[in-house]
Amino acid sequence: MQVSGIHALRLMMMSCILLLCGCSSTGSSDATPASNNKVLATPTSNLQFNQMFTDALNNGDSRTLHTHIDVLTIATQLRSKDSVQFINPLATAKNAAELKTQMVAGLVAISQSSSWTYLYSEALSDKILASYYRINTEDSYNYLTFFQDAESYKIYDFHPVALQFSALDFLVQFGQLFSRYKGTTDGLALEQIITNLNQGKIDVVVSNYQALPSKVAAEPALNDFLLRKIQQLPEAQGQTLRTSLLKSAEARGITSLVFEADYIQQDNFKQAISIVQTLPAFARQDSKMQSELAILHAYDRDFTRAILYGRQAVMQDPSDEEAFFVLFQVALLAKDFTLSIAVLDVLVAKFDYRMEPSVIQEFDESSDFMRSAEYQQWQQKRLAS
Amino acid sequence: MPKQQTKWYQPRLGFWGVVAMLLMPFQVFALTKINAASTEVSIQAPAPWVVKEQVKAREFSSLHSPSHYHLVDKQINGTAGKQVYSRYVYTLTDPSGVESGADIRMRFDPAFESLVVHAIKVLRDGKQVNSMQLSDIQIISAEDRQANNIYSGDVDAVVLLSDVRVGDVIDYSYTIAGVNPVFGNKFSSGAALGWSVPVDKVNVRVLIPSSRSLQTQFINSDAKFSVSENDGQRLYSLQLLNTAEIEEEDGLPAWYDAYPYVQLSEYKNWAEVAQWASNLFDVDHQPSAVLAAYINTLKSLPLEEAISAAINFSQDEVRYLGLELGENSHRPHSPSETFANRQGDCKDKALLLSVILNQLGISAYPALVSTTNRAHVSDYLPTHAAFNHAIVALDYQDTRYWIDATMTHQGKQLNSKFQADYGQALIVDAATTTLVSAVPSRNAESHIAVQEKVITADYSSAVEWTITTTLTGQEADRLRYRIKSEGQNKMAKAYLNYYAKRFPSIEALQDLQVLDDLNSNTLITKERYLVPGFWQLNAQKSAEFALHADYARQYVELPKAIKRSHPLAVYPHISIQHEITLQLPEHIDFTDELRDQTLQDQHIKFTSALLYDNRLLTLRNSYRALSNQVELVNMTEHLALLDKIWDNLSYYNSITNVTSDPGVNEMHNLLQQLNNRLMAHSAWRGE
Repeated sequence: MQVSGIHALRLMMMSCILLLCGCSSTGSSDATPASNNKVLATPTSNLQFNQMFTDALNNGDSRTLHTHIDVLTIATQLRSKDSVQFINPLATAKNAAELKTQMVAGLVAISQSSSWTYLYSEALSDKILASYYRINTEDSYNYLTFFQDAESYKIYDFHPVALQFSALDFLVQFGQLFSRYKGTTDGLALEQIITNLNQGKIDVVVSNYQALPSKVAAEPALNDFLLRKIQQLPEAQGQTLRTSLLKSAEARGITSLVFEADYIQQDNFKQAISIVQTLPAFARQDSKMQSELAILHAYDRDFTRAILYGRQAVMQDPSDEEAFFVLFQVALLAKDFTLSIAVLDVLVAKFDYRMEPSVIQEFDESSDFMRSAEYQQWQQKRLAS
Repeated sequence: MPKQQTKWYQPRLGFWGVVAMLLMPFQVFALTKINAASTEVSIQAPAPWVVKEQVKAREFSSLHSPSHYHLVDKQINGTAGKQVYSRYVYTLTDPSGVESGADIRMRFDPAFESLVVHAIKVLRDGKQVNSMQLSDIQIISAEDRQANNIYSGDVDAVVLLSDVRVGDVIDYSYTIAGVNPVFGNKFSSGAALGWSVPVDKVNVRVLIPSSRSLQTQFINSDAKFSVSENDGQRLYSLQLLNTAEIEEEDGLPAWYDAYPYVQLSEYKNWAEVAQWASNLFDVDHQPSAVLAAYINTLKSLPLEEAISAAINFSQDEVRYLGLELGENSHRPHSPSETFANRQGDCKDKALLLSVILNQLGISAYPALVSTTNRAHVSDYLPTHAAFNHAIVALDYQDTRYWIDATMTHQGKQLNSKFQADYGQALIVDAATTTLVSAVPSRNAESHIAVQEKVITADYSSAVEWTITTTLTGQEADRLRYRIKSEGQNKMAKAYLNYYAKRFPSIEALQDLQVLDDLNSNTLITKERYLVPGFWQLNAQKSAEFALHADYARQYVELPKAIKRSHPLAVYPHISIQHEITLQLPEHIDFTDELRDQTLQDQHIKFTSALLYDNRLLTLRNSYRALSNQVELVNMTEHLALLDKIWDNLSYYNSITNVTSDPGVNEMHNLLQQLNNRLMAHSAWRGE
């Protein structure tokens, strides 16, 4: 599994962390962001805003990103979420400005190795819009929600699906977490975890975490923080922490998209499927995740479901070539050669792929198909035309 | 579902008709005489107090078709009990008039009324051509409301005239004597003054002792009584000549009466009516041992839970049955009896619930309402005949709730139960002096939200169509009732057949899902279909489509009568949001089509928006009722508004050049194969 993302963490108050934990089984082509500052027109619709914002994300255009993330709204939202913690307007404004800077930095960093796809938006209320995005890396996908002011369309918060909290909510919850345990031994233990993390003492962090009372270990803000932190660590250390978190999460019956790849590596496809099923609807219904479910079910040898999810991926986005490739793989695994031919026909006619034998044999379990009468016939027709 | 019953008033047959009465389908519930021994019918001359009216002959060619009414005569004597004399004289001018006018029907309640038939004549060329015997009079049970589980004991005395021809004059008269003792000796009556046919002469006479005072009120009429006194009796009389036919337009508010009428009542005020009702409800309130035991189980619950449980019990575990015979037309059975029999009508259930709540320490009273006149009860004179239903007024935590114990399948919590707006009520309590507002302060609104999504991968293959419907309030109650009484499978089939009218090849992809939260009274249904034929390829090779967000159509239909003389009803307390989203295979620029508008007047508000977002084209309509009727003065503008709204209920367009995309046929074939596999796996149709 590949993760990417940059975050900055300050103890207690400031955390703006973007965590990207992709789904392992499907992948996309590389994005090549190019910085391209340009004067931005005022969007006349939310669609136009998101089209512009997507361009800015994909181009790493920090100036445009700055223009469309609103400090005032961030500050207002922080105060409305916790009027005690953010009682001081000046301090709150400063927090909001820092948060914005880190948001922009994080988004630009992502754009270095990922591309963004705008999916669609939804009005959560008269005043709030949620715009749903997919982040495409070389071999994984992730999903994120941007929260916007419904009138100005400006962004004030975001929420990666792998995490429980949005950026603002995490800030609030993390602060409240330490307030709750302030002056207690549990509070000291929490501070130790943070300190040891900052010092890179991961083994100590793991034993600190495992020693926590279960009530504290189950605190959502703590787990969110640790998940965010995993990305920052070198791979081996990240893996150590992740294994500990996974065990703890399993014991509590909690899942996270972060762990999907772990389950796939263990061939625990059913668990991987259940994780994908916990995604919010906008992510779960995306063609990439429907393809993910298709291939996971195929690996789990449930070909009925695999084909039906493959169908849903195609229905969801008939211009997504990858959905057809996944469906082709699923059809091969299912030994459904009629379906395999039908998909091949689309790959050739609609997407202009040649689908030579050398390409087909790269797919798993393709040999039976290539020996089949259906394929032989298809080949002959192709050669004759 | 609410039961609207209880004979609280004399049926106002006169309003819609003399003709309507004669045109009533001849329903024979029993062709034998019912309770012949207890049914008093005789043939006698009219009593001396009746003044016979003369009827002028008219040229046949000048008469209306299919029947022409020469005389409608109603004379009431309230000096000794109550006697009501009626006489009808009409000429049958067309075979259809003969069809309906040759059957005579006289309704009465033998429990306290007797029928004296004076004459039933068939006149031809000025001569009577028939004779009448007592044996010609058939008595049949007239339980018109038995489908609603209401039995009144009414009978119809029926005479089927033979050898009746076009041109014959029918002249029949009778007196019904007696009054339900439950009304005490308070006089209350009325007379129709107009019908849907013209009448040459309308005659009304009312005799009452001079010592008794009577209020009179004319509705939709400028007529006035002449009043005279003679020999200790007061006479109210009027005659109207050549009354116009009244056209009853469609879409009238339920409370609105288009027909002229005169009301007479001896009640001075609503306090007197309340006193009468209070005496009536003063049956034995002492709980029986089993009822007391039930109340004790409620007392062990937290109070609000106990209240909810008591209401749910009276609604769902006491069967609705109206045995309104004799005095029980208005006097309730004792709560213990209703509890023991687990059945009762609205007043029985209201009293039972009130008593149970009182025992829990809750202030609760039966309250009389009118399901037709609602907030317009006070437009009429105070009378025991003003009401046709009983509910419960209960006070809890500074809030008054109006609970209808005849409603079933409601949400289970007090705070989420739908409360019908009956407008005005008379609290059954000796201290009551006037009508009170019965407009609920909460939960009177119903809301329906329909969300549809159509997913399409090309412009020719079947689309996937999901429909999620969320209902609250009375709409949730109604659908819940339908699901329980019809069954979910039957309903699912009905839905499928409904859609199949538009899309004959539609298939259901999953069973109808029903999620019912009885605590919040929210009911959600989910449907999913595969729909071939959504796209229609036209001659220009464009794929036509239609989006319908028209759930509100039933509320914005233009009435048949556009040129109106009467107000138009607006179904109140309802709001609807209907949204349909078409997910296209690719981005298409709909910028020029987009719209967002509000169409509103003081009676309704309608908003319509066509939105587009990254392959998603959405038609979103909302409707909200702001009042319950449209007055004449606002009618033209309102009807024009309805017309405009109609144009926005749907959206039609087409996508061009759909057949020239690469891989069109291959994609269609692939989708066909995938859909076949989908349909083949009936046990799993998607998650």
